[in-house]
Amino acid sequence: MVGVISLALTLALSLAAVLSFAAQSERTVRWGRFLTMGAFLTALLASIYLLVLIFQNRFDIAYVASYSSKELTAMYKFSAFWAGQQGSFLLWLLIHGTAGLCLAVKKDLSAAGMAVYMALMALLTVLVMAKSPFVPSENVVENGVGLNPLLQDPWMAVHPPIIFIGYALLAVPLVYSAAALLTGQKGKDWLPAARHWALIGWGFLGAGIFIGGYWAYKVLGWGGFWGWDPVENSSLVPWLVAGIFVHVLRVAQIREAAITMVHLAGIFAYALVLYGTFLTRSGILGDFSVHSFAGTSIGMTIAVVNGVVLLAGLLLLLVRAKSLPQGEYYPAYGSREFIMLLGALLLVFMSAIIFLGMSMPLFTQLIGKPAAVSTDFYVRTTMPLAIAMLLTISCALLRGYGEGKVLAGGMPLVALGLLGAGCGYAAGVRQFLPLLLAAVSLMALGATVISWRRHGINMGGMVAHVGLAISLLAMVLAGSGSQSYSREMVVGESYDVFGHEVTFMGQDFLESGREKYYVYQVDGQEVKALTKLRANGEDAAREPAIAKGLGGDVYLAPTPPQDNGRMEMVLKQGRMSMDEDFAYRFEKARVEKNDEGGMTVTADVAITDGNTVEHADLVLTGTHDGGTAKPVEIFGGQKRLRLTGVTQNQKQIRIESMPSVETESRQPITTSVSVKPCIWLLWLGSILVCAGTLWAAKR
Amino acid sequence: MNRKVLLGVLLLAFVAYAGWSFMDAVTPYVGIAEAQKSTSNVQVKGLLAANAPAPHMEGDNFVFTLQDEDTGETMLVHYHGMKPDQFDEAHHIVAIGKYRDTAFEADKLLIKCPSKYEQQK
Repeated sequence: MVGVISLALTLALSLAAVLSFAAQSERTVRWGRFLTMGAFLTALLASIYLLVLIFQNRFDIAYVASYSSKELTAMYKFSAFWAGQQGSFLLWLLIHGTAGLCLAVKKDLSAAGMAVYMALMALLTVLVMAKSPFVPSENVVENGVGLNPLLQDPWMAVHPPIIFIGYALLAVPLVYSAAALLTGQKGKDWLPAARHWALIGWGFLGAGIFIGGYWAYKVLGWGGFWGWDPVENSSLVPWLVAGIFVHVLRVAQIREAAITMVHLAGIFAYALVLYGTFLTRSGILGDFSVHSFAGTSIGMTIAVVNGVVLLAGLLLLLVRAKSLPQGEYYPAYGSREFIMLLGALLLVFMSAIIFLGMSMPLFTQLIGKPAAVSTDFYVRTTMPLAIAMLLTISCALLRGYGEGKVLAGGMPLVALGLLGAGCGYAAGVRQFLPLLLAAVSLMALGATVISWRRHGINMGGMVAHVGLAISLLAMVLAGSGSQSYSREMVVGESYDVFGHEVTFMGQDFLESGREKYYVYQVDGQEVKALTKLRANGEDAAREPAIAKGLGGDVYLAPTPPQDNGRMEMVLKQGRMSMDEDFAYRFEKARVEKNDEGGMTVTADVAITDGNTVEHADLVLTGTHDGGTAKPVEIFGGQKRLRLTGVTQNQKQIRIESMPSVETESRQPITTSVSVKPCIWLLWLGSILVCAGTLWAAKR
Repeated sequence: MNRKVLLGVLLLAFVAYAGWSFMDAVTPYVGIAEAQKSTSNVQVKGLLAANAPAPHMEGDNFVFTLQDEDTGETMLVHYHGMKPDQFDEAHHIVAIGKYRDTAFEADKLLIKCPSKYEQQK
C-alpha cells in the first residue's frame, strides 16, 4: 500500500506543480517549487519502499518474487530494484525527480519550463503506475525466482542506473527549449544552461552505452562489444541526436538562426529516448533482439506518451517558427559553422539509418510480413559516414568561426593518416574502407590536438574528440582485425594460435557446486573462463577467459562438451540394472513436503561392483520452478549419481550417472580462440569520450 | 553555387547507396518451406525438433534440427559457431541465414527465452 500511495501522491503533486507553475504568479511559482520537492520525496519514498520489500524477502509482491530470492547477496538484491521493467521505470522516475529537485532549487529554469518538466514527471509516473512494481503475487511462494544468472554481475549494479541518468537528463534540454518557445523568449540566453544539462545527459548516456559494450564483451552470448542489437541501437540513436543538439547549439551561440535546429534536435533527442523505450519494452522486438523484454501491455502507453511529446514539441515549434531568429547559418563555406553543420547533417543521416534499421520489425509488422535487417547493413552504411564525419571534425577544428581563418595546415595530418592505415594493416585489416577509417581517425586526433594548442577548442572538447578518434580506430583494429579459430584442446597440451601459446589446464569445480572454471594458460599467464551453474549442475551463464595484453586480448570461449560421460537410466523398484562398472537396484522412495512449497523425494539405491554393496540416498528437491538434485558420490568418488525423476506411484525412478569430478575436469574441451588487437584502446577511447563530455559541461 | 550542387549530388548518391544496402539487408521472417526455396537471407523461427538427433558439433558447426511450430515441418540447421547459451531452455529458436543444398546455413541464432530478464516461471 505504501508504494501505491506514494506513487499516487507523486502523480498528484506533479500535476499540482504543473498548475502552480502554469499560473506564473510569484506566489504560485514558489508553491510549485515546494510541490516539485514533494513529488521528488514521494518518488524517493516509493523507491525506498521497493528496496525494503526486496530486502525483507516479501515474495507476496510479484516483482520481488520474480527478480529476487533469499539467497541473493546484498549487491544483487539492490540490483534487483532495476532488473525488471517495473523497477527500471521507477528508477527512471526517481532520477527525473532528482533532476527536478535540482532545477527547483537552482531556479534557473523559467516557470513555463518547470511546468513542462513536471508534466513529463506526471507522464513517467503514469508509466510506473501502469506497470507497478507493487502488485501482489497471484500465488504465494516461499522463495523468489532470483536474479537471472546472466545479470548476477557487478556491472548490473552500474550499467542500468547510468543509462537511466542519461535518459532522464535529456529531458532537461528539451524543457529549456520548450520554455523558450512557450514564453516566446527571443535570443540565446537559454543556450548555456541547456548545453550544460545536455552535456551531462549525453556523457552519462555515452558512459552507459560503453559500459554495456564492455559488459557484452566479457560475457558470452551477447554478441561482443557491439552487435547492432535493437536494444543497443535504441540507446545509440538518442546519443547521436544529443550529439547533434550539442553541436548545433555551439553554432547557434554564434549564428542565432541555427536556434531552430537546436529546438528540433532537443525535441527529437528526448522523443527518441521514449521511442527506444517503446521498441524494447513493447515486445515488438521479441523475435529480433537477444536482449528485449517479454511482450507486455505497456507498449501502447509508452507509444502514446512518445507521440504526445513529439507532436506537442513539433507543433509548438511550428507555431513559433516565425518569431525565431532568422538570418544566415554560416558566412562562408570555409567557416567552422558550415563544416560543423555539415557534420551535424552526417549525424542526422547516421541516426536516420540506424533508426530505420532498428524499426524495421515494427514497420514491416504494420504492413504485413515482419522482417529485420542484417547487421552488415549498419556496418556498410555507417562506415562511410563515420569516415566523412572524422574528416569534417578535422576540417572544422582547423578552421575558425566567421570568415574561416585557417588555424593550421593539414600536412602533418597526412603523415598521421598514413600511420593510422599502417596500424590497421599491421593488425591484419585488408579491406579498403576500414583502413581509410583508421587513417582518418588518426588525422582527426591530430587535428584536435593541434586545434587545442591554437585555442581552437576547449579542454573537454579536445579530450572527447581525441577519445572518439581513438575509439573508432580501436573498432577497426579490434573488429576488422579480429581473427578466430576453434579446436578441441586436450588438458596439458599446448597449441600455437595466432602466435600465442595456449594451454588448456582443465576444469576447476568450486566447492559450492554453483560455479566452475575452464582454466587456460596463454603465454604463461593463467586465465579462467567462468561458467555459472544451476543448482542441478546445468550451465546457467558463461563467460570467456580473456588474456589481456598491450598488443590485444586473447579471448577464449569454451564450448561445453557434447558427450560429458553422463548417462541416464530408468530403474524399476526391486529390479537390477547395470552399466559398464556397476549394478544398481532401486529399493524404495520416500516423499515428504518441503518448506520450498514442493516435495522432496529420497530414493534408496543399492549399488554393487560385484564384491561389495553400497547404499546411496539420492535426493530430489522439488520447488515451484522445477527440481534440484545434488550428485552423490559412490565407491569413493569413482562415479556420481543424481536423481532426476520419479513416477507418481514411486515404482520407478530416473537417475543420471556421471563420471568422477576428477575425470570430468580432465575432459578435452573445444575452445574458440580469438585475438582482438588493441581492444584496450577502445576502453581508453570510451573513457575519454565520456570524461571529455562531462568536463565540457563545467560552467 | 557549384559547391552546393556537388554537396547535393554527394548526398543523393549516399541516399541511393543506403537504400540499396537496405534492400539488400532486409531479411524477412518465413516458414521452413519458404526458407528452403528462398535464395536470399531469411529468418526462420521454430522449436528444437524432438524426434531428431541431439544437437551436436560437427567441426566448427553446431548442428540441430528445427521444427516449424504450426506445420511440423523440420529442417537441418548448421550454425557457424558454438552452441549458444541458454539453448537448452529456449522457448523458440530463430535462425538467420540461407538454405544451401541440404541444410540451413545459419550465421546467427537468436535464443528466445521468455526474456533475458524475465525468467520462466
